[in-house]
Amino acid sequence: MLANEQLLDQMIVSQQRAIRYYLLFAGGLIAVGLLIVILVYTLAGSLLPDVFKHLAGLGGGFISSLSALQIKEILVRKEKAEMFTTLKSRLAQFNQGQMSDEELNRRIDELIWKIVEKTALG
Amino acid sequence: MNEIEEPLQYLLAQVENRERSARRRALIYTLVPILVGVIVLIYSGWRIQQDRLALEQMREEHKALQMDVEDMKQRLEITADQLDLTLNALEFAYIQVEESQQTLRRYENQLAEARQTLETLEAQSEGYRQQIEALQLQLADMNEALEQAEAALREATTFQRYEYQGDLDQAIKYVASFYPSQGELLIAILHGLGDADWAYRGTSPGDGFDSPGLAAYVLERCGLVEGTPTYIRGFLSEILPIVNEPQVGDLVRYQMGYHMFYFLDEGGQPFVAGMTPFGVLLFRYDFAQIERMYRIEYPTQITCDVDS
Repeated sequence: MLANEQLLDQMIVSQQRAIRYYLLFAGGLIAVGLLIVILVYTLAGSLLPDVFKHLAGLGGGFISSLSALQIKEILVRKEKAEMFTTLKSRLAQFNQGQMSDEELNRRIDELIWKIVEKTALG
Repeated sequence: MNEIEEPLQYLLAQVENRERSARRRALIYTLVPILVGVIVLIYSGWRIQQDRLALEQMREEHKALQMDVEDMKQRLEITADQLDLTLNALEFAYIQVEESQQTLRRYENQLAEARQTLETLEAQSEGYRQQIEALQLQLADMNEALEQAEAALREATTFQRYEYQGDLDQAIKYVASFYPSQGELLIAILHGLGDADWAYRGTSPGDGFDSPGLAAYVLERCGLVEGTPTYIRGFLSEILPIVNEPQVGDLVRYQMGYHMFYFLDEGGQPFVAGMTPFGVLLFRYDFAQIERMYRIEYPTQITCDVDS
């Protein structure tokens, strides 16, 4: 049972690391988009013709909007992390003897392995 | 424990691999639209730039066209000015034509008036021609009278030799004593018409007399012949009978047209009295060649009412 807990911890850590990555990625996209917009409209505004200025502004906005794609990944990772956290708390209650149903323990164990397998193999 | 640990590590590695591939996929899924967007934006910018260039070119063409339009406007204004000038010239020409037409009408009126005047002048000329002809006739008559006068003048020098040389008062008394009516006629000729003037074809004291005119006037005034003096003068030969030997008071016509009354003085010398171009005169009976003699019937008493 200790192996399951370690596995869940590893999975939770992995999901949290992925969430941080996607957050950084989304934030980076937003920052890059905003940076392009600001640069075009402030610093390089006088160097570029109006058409390119507007197009660059449009491109910056488009790049920033691409950060919305990462939200789905973050939400999925969050759900998985919460699920792993719930399973870990159940497993901890079982290990501390607060629950004594062997059948339930076995089914949780199988569920953990199925989730891990699904996560790992797709 | 190792039997469980080994697949666990394997699963964790698999999970990590899937996470990495998911991150790569997310990165690719993000970069691909960015790249596509960048390409689309660059292409759009290039197209816009091309369109801008085309637009600039079109603007230049538009400016050129505007310049052409301005040029055409200026040309149109010039043409409009020229048209105005032409219109003004046309109006001026129209006014000149109107004036010319008025002048022409005036000239036509003047021509009509001139024609009318010409016709009037022609009529007057005709009148003058007629007057000239009448004057020429008068001139011919006057020439005739002048010729007669000249002839009479020539004769007058001759007449002086044939003028009656006897005592006129005695002769008048003699005639009045023995031939009262004839004496009345002689007195009327000598005293009543003694100052009468000579006038060719004259038959009145106002106009004057020629020789037959005075004879006709006296005969009419003395009541010896009926009719006007003009009538009597023209028809003496038809009115009065012609005789071969004269009696006292008869009318003798001489060759040059003289009509003289025949008388005898106390000595039995015949003499004649009548009108000549030199006035009323008395001549010897043979002062000229006799043409004919007219008998005049005298009543015992006559009265001669002559105007002196």
